[in-house]
Amino acid sequence: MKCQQCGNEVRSHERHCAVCDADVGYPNVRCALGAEEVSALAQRVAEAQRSCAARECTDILVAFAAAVRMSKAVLGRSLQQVLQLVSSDNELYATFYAQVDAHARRPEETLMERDRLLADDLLFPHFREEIRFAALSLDGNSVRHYGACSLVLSELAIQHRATVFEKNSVLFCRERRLGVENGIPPGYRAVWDAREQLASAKLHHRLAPGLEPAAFPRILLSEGTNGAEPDFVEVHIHGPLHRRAIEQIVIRGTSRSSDEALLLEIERRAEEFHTEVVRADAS
Amino acid sequence: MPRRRSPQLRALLSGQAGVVVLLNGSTCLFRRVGEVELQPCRPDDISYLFGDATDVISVVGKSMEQAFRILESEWTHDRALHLTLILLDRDAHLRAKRVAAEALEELVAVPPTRQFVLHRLYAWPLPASADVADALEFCRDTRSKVLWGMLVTLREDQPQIRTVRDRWDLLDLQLFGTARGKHLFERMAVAEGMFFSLCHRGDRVFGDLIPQWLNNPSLREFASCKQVLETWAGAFIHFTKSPASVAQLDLFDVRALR
Repeated sequence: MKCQQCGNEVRSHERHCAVCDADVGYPNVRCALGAEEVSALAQRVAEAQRSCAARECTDILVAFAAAVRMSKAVLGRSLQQVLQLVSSDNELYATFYAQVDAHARRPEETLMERDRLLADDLLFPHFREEIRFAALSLDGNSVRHYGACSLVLSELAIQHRATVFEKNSVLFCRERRLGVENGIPPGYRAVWDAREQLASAKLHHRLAPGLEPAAFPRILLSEGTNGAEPDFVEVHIHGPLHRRAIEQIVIRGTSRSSDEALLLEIERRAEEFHTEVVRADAS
Repeated sequence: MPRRRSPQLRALLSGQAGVVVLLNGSTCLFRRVGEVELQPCRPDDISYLFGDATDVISVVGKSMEQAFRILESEWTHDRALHLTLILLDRDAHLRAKRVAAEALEELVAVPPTRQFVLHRLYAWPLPASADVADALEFCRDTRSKVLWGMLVTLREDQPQIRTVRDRWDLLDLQLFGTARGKHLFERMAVAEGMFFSLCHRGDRVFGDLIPQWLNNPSLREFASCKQVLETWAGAFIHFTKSPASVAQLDLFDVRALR
């Protein structure tokens, strides 16, 4: 693409024009807005509409799309990780907690995460370190396996820099044997404001006449219980996540006595930035 | 649980996330702290299981039981640090501080956990938002002897902590090559307890500490390790501190709480 400010060429991964430093937009968003991507996704949506019409559940597809238009991005985290995040402005935490990673190795550095690196390189060439991952959710719950707490992100904080992808991108690349020679096919990602299109294209085959809206949350995000694998629409957010980007914290499954100290502090600190904390059942 | 061991077993674990992932050939299982059952997962779940954890470590050649024990230990360290910061926080919820004091007494009685917390608390002077006197009140109310002793000593050591920190901050970046080099060395120094040792054993810098640190493989990775240590720690060759008395419940002194 060309920089609108100075007309020079801007590479696909760049956020700013190398010549005039003009902001050219988030690279993941620019990619999802590419003509080929938009066209391929439109074809998939049309296919979904035809399929649902044939099965006489067009009204369900419309209702599902309307529901997904209200969906949120959620992250699964442990109680300790949530306290760490909501305490990022706290002087004591900033002083003493910041050094905990002295011996740390990111999972990405391990042998088993080569696939993650490959998928990231295909999706986010040269800017993978800028991407944070989340999942689309209709009820504020994330995949339980990924942590006892769900962080629901504020749409205002991410809508301009988030894109959505068909599923766990590592799994997507592995299933399709994608690599350097064959990259991500078009039609499997969308900008935030078109997330209902992607969800409809992906999940229309699970809609049926008479399906109640109450079933939509588990269709959009499947927990993977009873031996099934988790499945969700993956959200890619460019840039850091500030604690004020959290709209709601849903906490499940606390049992130790010391959990209460962390819970109380999470609630106190969340209140400082007007974030709701919901203590869900511990089952 | 039967003891199973495999030389191929690789474990990825994080105390912050409270999860261990066991990888054995094509099999991928995970277990969370407090849960009893292993659950299947996929390798592509790994980054989601750890989230943004910054303490992920890789362990190879341990049994499942050993991997769980390491996870429990790492989780306990992280939990103890959180509880300590809650207890010290001037603005923390009063009930949270009480729960923290009660839980911490047991945790810091375990030497590796106490060491993990102290290595971090001794790396910087306490900020203004820390209220040690209030924390000590909670220790007394909950009859937390070990914790009380630890915090009294921490308070007494604040001048030495500040001196060791100031000396570190004054070290020239050229010693490390870059600012990042100094940052990485500092993280290692915190984790290895070098700040703590210089506060408590500064008189034994050249006798024990520097030779011991120079034998540490993690520190030897830094090319200028010896020079850094001699420049930083050498400043404390005449800096001695009397061994702190171990505070006991019967030594509780109201004046110490003020």
